[in-house]
Amino acid sequence: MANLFEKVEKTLRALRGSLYYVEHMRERDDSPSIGGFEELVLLAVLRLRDEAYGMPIRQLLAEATGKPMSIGAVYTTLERLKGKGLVEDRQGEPTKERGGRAKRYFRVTGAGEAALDRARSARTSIAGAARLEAWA
Amino acid sequence: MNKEPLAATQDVSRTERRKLAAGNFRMMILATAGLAATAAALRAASDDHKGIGLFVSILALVTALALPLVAVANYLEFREAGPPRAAKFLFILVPKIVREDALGDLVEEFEIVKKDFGAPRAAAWFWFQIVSTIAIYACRGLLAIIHGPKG
Repeated sequence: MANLFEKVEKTLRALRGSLYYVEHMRERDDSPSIGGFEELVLLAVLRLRDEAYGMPIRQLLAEATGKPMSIGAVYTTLERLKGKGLVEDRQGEPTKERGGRAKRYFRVTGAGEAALDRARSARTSIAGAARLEAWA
Repeated sequence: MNKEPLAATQDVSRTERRKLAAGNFRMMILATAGLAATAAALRAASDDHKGIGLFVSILALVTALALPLVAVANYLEFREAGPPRAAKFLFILVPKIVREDALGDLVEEFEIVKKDFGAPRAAAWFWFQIVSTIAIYACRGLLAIIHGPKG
């Protein structure tokens, strides 16, 4: 009888463990991950604050990377980040220097800041491990 | 999508185009008048005043020929003043959701590039931006067809 109880307890523990694992994985999947370029775009939006629209974002990225940057690359990334809920946008007023077109301002959301934190900590931990290995 | 920016753009370019057309129309009228004056001066010149008639007709002819050239120069200047129109037209290949925003950014930056590096380099830069953006969205569309919308 005691043996049976032990078996049931073991099964329940295993079940609880797998349930916790599934729940944990689900939590991890819900939080969107970001790629290298997405991280750069998010950082550019954060840095530009109230002036974060297409042109300065593109200029900042081109300056930082030292490569010619297409406005299309910036907008596709911003659209993707918006789809993930990491940035939000708002339409500004039309201006003459833009041929009567309005600016579209972007802002990093709370989820975006969290994603940036996760990416940074992942990078730091991997870089730390690489440093240890190099010293060994 | 806000419709106001597109309408405002059309208004700006339409007003500029109207001004140019009105100026060129006036020049064409003057040029025609110059040609008519040439013919009249040549016909009316009697043998005694042939020298004056010839002078007036040459003056009118030069004016008549110069004015269309000025009109063409005005048109070329108008075209050079802004970003290449053909490139802007090609931008209709980009999805509507980003078209106006991206084009606004490019038009704004075009003026900065033109001020720093001159019109030809600014035009080349503008073409690069347009073509690369179209290529990016074309690749995206192709991938969406192959892997489905989320791919």
